[in-house]
Amino acid sequence: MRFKQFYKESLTRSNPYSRSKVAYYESLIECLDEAFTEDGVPEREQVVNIIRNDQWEDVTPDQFRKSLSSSKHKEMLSDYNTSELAKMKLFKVPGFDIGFALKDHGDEPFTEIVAVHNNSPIRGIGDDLVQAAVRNGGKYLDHFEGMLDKLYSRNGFVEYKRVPYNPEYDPDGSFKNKYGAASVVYRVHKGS
Amino acid sequence: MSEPDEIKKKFTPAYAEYQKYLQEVVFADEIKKLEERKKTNEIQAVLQREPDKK
Repeated sequence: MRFKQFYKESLTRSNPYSRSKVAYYESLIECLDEAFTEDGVPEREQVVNIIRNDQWEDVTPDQFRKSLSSSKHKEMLSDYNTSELAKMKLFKVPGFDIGFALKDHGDEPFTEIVAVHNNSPIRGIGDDLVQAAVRNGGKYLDHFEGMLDKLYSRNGFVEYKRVPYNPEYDPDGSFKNKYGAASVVYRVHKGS
Repeated sequence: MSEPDEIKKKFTPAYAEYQKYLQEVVFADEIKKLEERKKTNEIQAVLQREPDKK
């Protein structure tokens, strides 16, 4: 857009060729700026730095839900309506659909890590998000046993409770058929 | 929310989809690396047990 604007303007001036050429190079620089930060650091590194330095965007529950809702797993959103999110501390990376929230855990305010999300094309920042959540007061989380066990364990979370699949909550067995019968593992951060 | 209600909530599509999302998207790279490391360790263990397979 900027290139087109410069190009049109350059045609009306005394030396159109050189002005349009300058505008063209400026537009190229602008394109490159979208993939790299101004000092040449790739986007992933930029995002990691934002997370590690706790440079969060101040967001409303609506904005946070929008960031969360760009996921393809739409069903997960039913737990996170805006009135629920309004009771939480919200953390979002500026300019990216990446973040997490902290909600009350019993009588401990803002200590349960929820709504961890990354709906950007950037990958490999999961550990950074978990560590940021801990740094900002997160102590508790829960998950289905399996792949996430080792990941949370290496981030310092120890199991304190395990609840097996209960068919009472799934009378027609539809949940088990679709998602299996994994136990829910409750963890607390050992440094907390 | 009572404890049974809180537990009941875990066995719902909303929670299960969130867990899937964490595994398949948020922690996909980390899980892939853990699996690769596990495979490497398994190969190393076999090679240590049976060095003639080198």
